[in-house]
Amino acid sequence: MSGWSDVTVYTGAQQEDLLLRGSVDRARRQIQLFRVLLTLISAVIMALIIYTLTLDKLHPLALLKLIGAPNRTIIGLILQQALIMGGLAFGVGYGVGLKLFPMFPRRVLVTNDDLLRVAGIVLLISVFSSLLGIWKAMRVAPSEAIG
Amino acid sequence: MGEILALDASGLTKVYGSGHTEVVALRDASMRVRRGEVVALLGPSGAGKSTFLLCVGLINPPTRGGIAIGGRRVQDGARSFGDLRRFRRENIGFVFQKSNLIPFLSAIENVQVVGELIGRPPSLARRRAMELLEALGVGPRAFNMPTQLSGGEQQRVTVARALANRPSLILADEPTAALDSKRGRQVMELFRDVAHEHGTGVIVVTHDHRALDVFDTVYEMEDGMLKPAAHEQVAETVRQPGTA
Ligand SMILES: Nc1ncnc2c1ncn2[C@@H]1O[C@H](COP(=O)(O)OP(=O)(O)OP(=O)(O)O)[C@@H](O)[C@H]1O
Ligand SMILES: [Mg+2]
Repeated sequence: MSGWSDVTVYTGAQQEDLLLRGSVDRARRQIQLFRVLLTLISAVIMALIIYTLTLDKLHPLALLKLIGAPNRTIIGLILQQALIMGGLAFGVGYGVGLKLFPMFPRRVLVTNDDLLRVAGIVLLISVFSSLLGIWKAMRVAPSEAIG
Repeated sequence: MGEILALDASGLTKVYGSGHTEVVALRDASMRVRRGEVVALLGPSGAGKSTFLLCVGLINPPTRGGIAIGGRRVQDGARSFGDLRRFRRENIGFVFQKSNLIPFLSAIENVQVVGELIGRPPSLARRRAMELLEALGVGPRAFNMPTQLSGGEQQRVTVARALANRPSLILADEPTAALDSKRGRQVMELFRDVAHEHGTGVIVVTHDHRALDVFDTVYEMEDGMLKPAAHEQVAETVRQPGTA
């Protein structure tokens, strides 16, 4: 049959693929883009939050440097803050999801794999968003603790 | 030779700024502090006292001059030897005019953190912090946050923190300015007792002439120059530094 020029033969799987490709694929790509944008935006927001929290604490950070705390300790403090925030956000997100998804018109499927991936992304965002704050904290002079 | 000095600062000169904004805050200032010696540093506002402490405290490098602490040469002009922050946390204790506690840590944590920074296990650091706070009469307030403490209590916690690493040198910049004269005197006496007991060198910048008898040695600073105090009244009250 595949020899005929004016007809193409599809297997079951190919048919399915063909039907799904057009509209569903476009929707999926849009959602994907949307997701990437949301991830970026949340990373920027979180970086700003961590940055302002760090600005708030420049004086005690200078003091820590003055009494001899190594950079390792100071970076640790900022990362810890970011990770706690990330963890909270993940928890809240998960909780809200559990409550909200049953109300959606379609069933939302969240597999353990998905959760793991999201946790990984949250971790990455937390670490990256701390960089700005860490950069600022590294530049504060110990003498600023006593101005 | 032989004796290890808590501090040997020689020929410290500090120039702030440059051109027509240039300020010479220290001019060839030298000071030797023996272990166990308590030194008062007097002088008018702007004389360079704080600048001197910042230099010997390895926070702001001098423009010229050398600094050795506990027998180790750590600074030569703007050049420093080794990791200064590490040297500070292991060898120097600081007390400043404003209490300067870390606001989000309780009193005991403020002291404990110093012990942990020098590698003590947390439980040991905590026990030692509690001992210090008790010795300073603020044991019952150990779990209060800094804002919940009076100015005097905060200052005593700061003193405890300065002692927590058993430093070879304690630098205090007007530590009693926020205290009444009785409490101020107590803090000075505490410095003296610690110095004599542990062989720590202590330099205290003060304006309080009434407590000068607590000190072994009194220096005066004027216009960046450091000299032993020649003041009559000072000379009478100051004891010989034989205790050191
Ligand atoms: N960071 C700085 N930049 C420029 N000039 C400074 C700086 N710090 C201090 N000075 C100047 O150096 C001089 C000495 O200041 P310093 O703070 O050491 O005085 P002080 O003896 O501690 O005075 P006070 O008793 O008022 O605390 C002053 O003229 C001051 O204006
Ligand atoms: Mg001063």
